[in-house]
Order: sequence, then C-alpha cells, then structure tokens
Amino acid sequence: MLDVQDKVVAITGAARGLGQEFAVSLTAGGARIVAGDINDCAETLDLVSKTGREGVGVKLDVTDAASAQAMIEAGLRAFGRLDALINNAALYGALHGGRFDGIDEAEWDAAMAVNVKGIWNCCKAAVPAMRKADGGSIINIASLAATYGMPYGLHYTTSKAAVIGLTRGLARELGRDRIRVNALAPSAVITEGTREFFGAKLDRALDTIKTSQTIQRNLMPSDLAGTVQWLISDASAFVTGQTIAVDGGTVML
Amino acid sequence: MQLAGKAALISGAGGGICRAIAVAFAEAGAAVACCDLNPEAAAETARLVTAAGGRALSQVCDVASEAATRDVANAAHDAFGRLDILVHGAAPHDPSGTVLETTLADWQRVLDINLTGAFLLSRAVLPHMIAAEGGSIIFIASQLGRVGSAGRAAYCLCRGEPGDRPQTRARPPRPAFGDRPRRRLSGERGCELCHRQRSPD
Repeated sequence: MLDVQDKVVAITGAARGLGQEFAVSLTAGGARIVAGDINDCAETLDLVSKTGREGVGVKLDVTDAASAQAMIEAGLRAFGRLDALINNAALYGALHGGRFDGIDEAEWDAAMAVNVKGIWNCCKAAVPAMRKADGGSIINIASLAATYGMPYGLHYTTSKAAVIGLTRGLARELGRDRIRVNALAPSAVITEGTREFFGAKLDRALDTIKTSQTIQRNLMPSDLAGTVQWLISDASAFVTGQTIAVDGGTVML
Repeated sequence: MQLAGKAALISGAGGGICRAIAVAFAEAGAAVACCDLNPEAAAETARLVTAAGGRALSQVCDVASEAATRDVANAAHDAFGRLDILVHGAAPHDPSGTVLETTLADWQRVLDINLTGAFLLSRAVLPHMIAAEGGSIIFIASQLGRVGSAGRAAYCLCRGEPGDRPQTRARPPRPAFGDRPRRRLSGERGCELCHRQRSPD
C-alpha cells in the first residue's frame, strides 16, 4: 500500500540528518534517490548503496536557481524521470538563537534565502519533470517552530511558517497537474542540526519539548520515515496542501 | 508498513468508508471485528474481510449502547486475543433541515451515535489497549465540521473536532482559503450515506 518501488525522489539537504534518513529509508523501500546538498553526500550514497539500490549525489546550493535546475537534470539523466521532491535543506544548526531584536540581519536574510526561497527554486526546477511524469509529490519540511510559535529564533520560526503558506498556495496551483504538495512539521529531531542549534542548552531544550508532548520521548529521524513514505506513495493520492505534525502530539492542528 | 498480527474493531463497517477500511486492513494483515447496526451488512463486510485473507468477526452493535459497545470489544478481544485499533465510523442518516425543522429525536440520535458512540467505544476498547501498552483510535470526522453546511446543524457539530465551534452557516460554504490545515477529515463520501443524504425523501 505504501509502495515507493522505483519512484525517483530528489532530496535536498541529504548529506546528513533527516535528509540522510529519508534517502536510506526510501531506498530500502525500493525508491531511487537524487541526493543534493551543499556538503558532500558521499556518506549518504554509501548507506544507499548498502541497500542495493541506486542513488546519485549532486552538489546543491538551493539559493541558486541554476543549481536547483542542475540537481533535477542530474536526476533525469540518471533515472529518466522524477516522481517526488523532499525540500529538506534548511539553515537550522548554523543559526543563532536569541531575542528577536538581537538577530543579525545577514543571518535573517540567509534563513529566508535557504529555508524559503530555496524551496521555491527547487519546486520551479522539479515541477516540469513531474508534469512529464503525469503527477508527483512534493514534501516540504516545516517545523514545530512554526506550528507552535517558537520564541528566541524568530528568523527560523518565520521561515518555517512561510513554508506552510508556500505549501498551501502551491498545492492549489498544482492540483490540476496531479502534483501534491504537503508539509511535515516535526518537533526537534535528535540530529546533529538540533545539537548545533541548541548547543549547551540541548538537554534542557529536549526535556522541555518532551514534557509538552503527548508521547513522552524525543523524536528520532526514523519516526518521520513512515509519514514521508506515505506522502510519496499513491496511498495518499487525495492528500494535498496539508501540514502534518509529527511531533508526538504537541500541537493538534 | 503492515498490520500483520494486529486486531481492529470498526464501527459502521457495513458499508461506505468503513467497509473499505475493513478490507484494506485485512489486506494489510489485520483481523477485523466488523460492527454495524445492520446484521446483513456487517456479515457481508466480514465475508469480504475473510476473502481478503483476514480473520473476521461480524457483530451487530448499537454504538449508543454502553452494554453493546462493551460486548463487541470484549468479543473481539476474546476472538483475536488482542485489540490494537478502533475505527469509529458509524453514522446515522440525519435528515437535512433547518434548526426549526430538526426534531429533538433526530438531533439526539446524531449525537448519540457520532459523539456518545465515540465515547462509549473508547471506554470499551481502552482497557485492552492500556493492558497491551499501546493502540490507535481513529474517529472519522468530516470537512463539514470545519466549513459548515446549511441544514446540517447536528452533523456539523458532531463531525468537527472536540472543542471546535460548530460553523454551520446559513449560506453555502466558501472555500476555506487561508484556513488552518485540516486533519483526518473525510470529504463528501461516494457512499450510500451521501446518496441517501442527497436523495429527496
């Protein structure tokens, strides 16, 4: 039912963390992966090859429309089609927390460029290929930061809220092309990015997040794999424009 | 993503969405207790579940009855040795009409099945789920709980989410542009209930 066999999935930010988890879990389900990242995807491709499936790696700067286009073209060269795009690349761990009036202006602009414009760039590059495939699935990674309203990281919170608006508007534009657009809103996942983001406050932050959840444990990357697989598979063929919270029951949309 | 070894209880399993869920669960490997007010309809779904390779139980159940809900949950647990999933999709035929045209009996029946049924079935299955340290409860809501629909006051009230203000409107609903995202709400269903709803009495 959650069949992703032979589907071609482009994943941005695939060098580590959630992007790497999606690459590995989807290839284990039979998908073929185009892994894009500003960093080297060698480790992800190594893990993918251990599942016996194919993957290609691409150097990707999502803030550059030509770079996004090159990723999609590399995928088409390797696999001849594109079925899904996971917009996972984001500035997160590199951002500095703090009060709203203390955020560095260049950092604010960078968060918007990567987390928002980056998704727009990748969607523009991917949609023509999905139209040729007579449909597709776009998954944008939003965040509990937006659905809850996380303080002391307003550039991150604002950028992720924009992802939800982008998801809804684009879903309405692409419905006629049978291209579905949905978002995931996870709470803090145990990844390097989260460790970097919270720094010395990591343990306290994870504890606070856990106590606000219905399910009393922290979120692991593998917790998102099933929802992603479902959104890529035809099992979710009538689901579009939605933001799905995978946060252990923190916010209930 | 399979349901092998799991057991489900489905209310309203005699047709529409819930019959399709019962068969899909069976195809995924689950055992299914098919509950419906209509014995023939429940039996037919049980037959389809068996044909799909699942173990099935056919049960007559009025979900507004505490005794009946307890009996079907216990019977399902006895038959399958476990109870992992509850799907509450039973819904009565609620006649469309303005608030003035809706009788207290009609109103009460909609609340009894849609709301009290959810409460009673949860009470019935939860002891088994808590003992097993896990489970999943799914209530079938409806987009009408969000957008409202003229002439469907009781239905819109019940099929919204707990805590939601019912949004029944006097005019046809507008597209919910900019609305909050919806969750687990079914669109108008291509099933018998909708045909009944639309056909003039």
